[in-house]
Amino acid sequence: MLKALLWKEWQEQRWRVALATVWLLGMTAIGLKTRILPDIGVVMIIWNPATIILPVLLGMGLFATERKERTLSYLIVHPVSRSQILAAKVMAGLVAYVAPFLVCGLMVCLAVGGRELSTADLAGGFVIMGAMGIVLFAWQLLAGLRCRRGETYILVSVIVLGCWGVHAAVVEEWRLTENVGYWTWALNPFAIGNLNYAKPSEVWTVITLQSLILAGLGFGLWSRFRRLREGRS
Amino acid sequence: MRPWKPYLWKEFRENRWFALAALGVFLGISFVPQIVEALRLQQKWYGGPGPLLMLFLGGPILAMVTGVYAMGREQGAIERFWRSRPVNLNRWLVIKYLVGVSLVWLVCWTPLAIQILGKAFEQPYGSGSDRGTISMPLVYSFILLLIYSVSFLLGQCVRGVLHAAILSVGAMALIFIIPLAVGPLNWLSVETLLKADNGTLDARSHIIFVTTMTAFSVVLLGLAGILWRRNVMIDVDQRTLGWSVAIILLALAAGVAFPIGTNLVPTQVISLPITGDSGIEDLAVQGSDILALVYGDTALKDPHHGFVRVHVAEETSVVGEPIWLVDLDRDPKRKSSVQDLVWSVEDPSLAYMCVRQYLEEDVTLDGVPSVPWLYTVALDANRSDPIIHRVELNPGAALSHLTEAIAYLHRGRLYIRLHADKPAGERLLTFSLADPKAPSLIHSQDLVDRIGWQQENLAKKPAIRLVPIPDLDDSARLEITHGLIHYHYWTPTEDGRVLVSDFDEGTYVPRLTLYETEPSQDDRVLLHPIARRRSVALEGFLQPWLDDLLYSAPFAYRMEGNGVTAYRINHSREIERIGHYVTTERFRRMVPLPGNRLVIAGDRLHVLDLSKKLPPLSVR
Repeated sequence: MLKALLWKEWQEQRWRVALATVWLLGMTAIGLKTRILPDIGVVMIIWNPATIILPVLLGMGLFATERKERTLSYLIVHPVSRSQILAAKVMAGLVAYVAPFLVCGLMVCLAVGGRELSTADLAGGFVIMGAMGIVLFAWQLLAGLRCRRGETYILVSVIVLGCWGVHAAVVEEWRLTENVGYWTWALNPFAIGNLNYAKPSEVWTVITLQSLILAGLGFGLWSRFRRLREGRS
Repeated sequence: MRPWKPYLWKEFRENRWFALAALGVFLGISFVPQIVEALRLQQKWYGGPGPLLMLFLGGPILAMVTGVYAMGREQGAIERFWRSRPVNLNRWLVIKYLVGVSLVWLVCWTPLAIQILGKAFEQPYGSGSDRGTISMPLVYSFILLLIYSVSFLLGQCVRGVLHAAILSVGAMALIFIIPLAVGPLNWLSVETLLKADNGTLDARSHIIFVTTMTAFSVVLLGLAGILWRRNVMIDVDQRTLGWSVAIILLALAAGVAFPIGTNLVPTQVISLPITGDSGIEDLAVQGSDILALVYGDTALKDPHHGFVRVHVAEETSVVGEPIWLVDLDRDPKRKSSVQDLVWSVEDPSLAYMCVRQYLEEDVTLDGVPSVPWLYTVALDANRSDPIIHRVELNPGAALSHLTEAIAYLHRGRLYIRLHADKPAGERLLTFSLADPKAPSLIHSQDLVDRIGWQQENLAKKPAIRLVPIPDLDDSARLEITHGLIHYHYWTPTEDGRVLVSDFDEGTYVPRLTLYETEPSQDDRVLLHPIARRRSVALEGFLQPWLDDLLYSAPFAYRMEGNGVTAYRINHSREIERIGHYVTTERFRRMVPLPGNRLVIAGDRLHVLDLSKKLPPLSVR
C-alpha cells in the first residue's frame, strides 16, 4: 500500500520537481556560464534562496493543497494507517526537495568542479545547503500541517523563518554563544549553513542537536497528523 | 452621506486592522532594536537606519501584499454580491485603490516621520546633512506606487490571491531589474535614489520620474477598471503559473546576464614558483617578458620580497626561478613597502624599486615617518644580495610623512615623484642613468601643485597638470605624468587624447570618457569630452569600486571590484565594450603584451588574447 501511496504522491509532486530542477539548473547555468560573479558568488546567490524557498513551495503541495481540494478525507478513509500516509507524504516531499538539489549539484560539480572551487568543496556546500533545507522543511511541515490553503502554509512558513531569523539576531545581539553556550546558536537551522570546520566541537554540537531536533520534529509531525480531523462538510 | 463616503467607510473598516498590524511591524522593526541599544548605551533611539531600511526592504512587500489583497479579498461570492448592488463600480474601485496607496505610504512614512521629527527637535535649524532621509523616500514612494498598482491590477484580474501574489512578485522583480538592465530606462531605476541622496537629482528629473511613475500607475488603474467592468478574470492553475514565471525569469536572467557577463577566456594561467600566502605585488613588462615582484614565503624563516621573470609566448610560457631580496626584509621590525617597480630598458638585467621603510612601532593614526629609497636590483640569480645600489630619496626628511614614491623611466632618465600628506608636499626627482647600475640625482624640484587630474567642480572643465619638465613636449609630459601617478583613473591614448574612468555623476554606474586635449598653458592641459560610454546600471551593482585603467591601442582595460572589463576605441571615437574577465582571485596589476594580449596579476598570471575581438581588416 505504501508503494501505491508513494506513486500517488509522485504523480502529484513530479511537476514541482521538474519545475524546481529546471529553475535551479537554469539559473545556475546562466550564472556559471556568464560568470558575472565568481563561482562561489553565483552558487551562494542562487542556491541559498532556493534552500529557503523550495521547501515552502514543495511543502505547500503535500497537505495544504490536498486539504483545500478536500481530497485528504478520501485518503484518510482508505484502509491504510495514518503513519503510512504520513510516511508516504514526507518521503515524497523529501524526494521532491532533494532530487533537484541532487541533479543540479551533480551537473554543477561535473561542469565547473575544479574550475574555481574543487568538486569536493562544491559537493560539500550542496550537502550542507540541502541539510539546512531539510530541517527547515521539517519545521515548516510541522507548523503548517493544519493549513487548509496554500497561502496560509506560505504565511506559516514565513513566520517559522522569521522566528529563526529573530532567534539568530537575539543570539548575535546578546552574544548568547559567549555568555550562555554555543548550543544557543546550534539550535537554529541556519547554524547548519554556518559551520566552522576549524572548531570540530561546534560542528558536532550542530550535527547532534539538529539530528535530535529532526527526530523530535518527525515525532511531532506524526503525533499531530494522527490527531488531524478532516471532515467532508 | 455623499456617495463616496460609504465606500470610504467600508474600506477603512476592512483595512484598519491590517494597517495597524503593518504599522506595528514597521515601527517595531525600525525602533525596537534602537530603543534596546539606546537603553544600553545611552544613545539616541531614533538615529538608526531602521526606518529607511524598512522603507526599502519592507515597502515593496507591503505594497505588493496591500495591492493584491485590495481586490483579491473581494473575489468570489463577495464580488458577485457587490456587482448585484446599485453601486458605482468606478468610484468603488478608485476609492479602494486610493485607500490602499494611503495605507502603504502612511505605514512606510510614519517611522521616517518620527525619525525626522526626533532629529528636528535635536537640531531645530537642520544642517541639511540628512537630505537623503527625505529625498530618497520621496523618490522611492513612487516606485512603491507602481508596485502597488501592478499588484492591484493582478489581484483584480487573476483568480486566486496566491497566484496573483506570485505574479506580483515577478512583476516587482521586473520593475526593479528591467530599468537597471536596459540602458534607455536607467532613469527609471533605483539609481535615481542615489542621485536624490547625493543631491544630483535636479527638480526637472525628479518631476519627470514622479510623473512617469504616476502615469504608469494611472494607466494600470484604468486597465483594472476596464477589466473589472467587463468582469474579466484570468484563471491560471498552479502548474501553468509556475512554469510561466520560471520561464519568464530564466529568460530575463539570461537577457540581463549574458550582455554583461564574462566572455573572455584566458589563453594561459601561469602559476609562479611561490608558496604559502604569497602574492604578486607589481608587474613590469618588456616585449613578451614579464617581471613580477612577489612577496611571500621562502625557504627562509620570514616572508620576503622577490622577483620572478616570465617569458610569455603565444601558447606557452617559461617561468624563471625567484630571486629573493634577502637584505630588504632582514630586520623584522623594519617594514619595507615597495611603492613602484621599473625595469631598465637599456639593461634588462637591472630593475629599479622605490621602497618606503619604516619602523612598525612608529605607526600612528597620523601616518608613519618613513625613509624612501631607490634600489637598483641585479636580476642575476647567482647573486647572494641582488640589491647592488641604493640612494635615499628624501635626505633630511624634508617630506616627513611620505605616502608615495613613484618612478617612471623615460629616455634614459628616471623620474621619481615623492608625495607627502602631512605636511602636504610633492617633489620631482630626476636621475640620470648614464651608469645604469648607479642612478645619480641630477635635479630635484618641489612641485607647487599636485600633478595629475584636476577638476575643482563639475561646472569647470577638467584638466591635467603636467610635470614641469621644460625640454619635453606635451605628449611626453602627459606620458610621464601618467607614469608618476599610482592609481590610474585616466590614461593617455596613442593619439594624444585622454581616457578617463569614473562613476557617472552622483551614481555608482561606471563610465569611460574620451577627452580631446588642448595645448598646455601653465603646465595645465584642458580637456573636453568627445565620447562617453556609460555602463548598464546593473553593472554598477557588481563593481563596488574602480581600479586601474590601462590603454594599449586599440583596447582599454579597466580593473574593477569584480574583474577586468575590456573596451575597444575605434576611429569613429566609439567606445565599445568587448568583454569581461573575472576569477576568484583578486586582481592587482595588469600590463599589456604585444599582439593585443594582456597579463593580469592575481595570485597567478592570467593571459588574455583579444586579437580575435578585432574587426577582420584591422588585425595586426
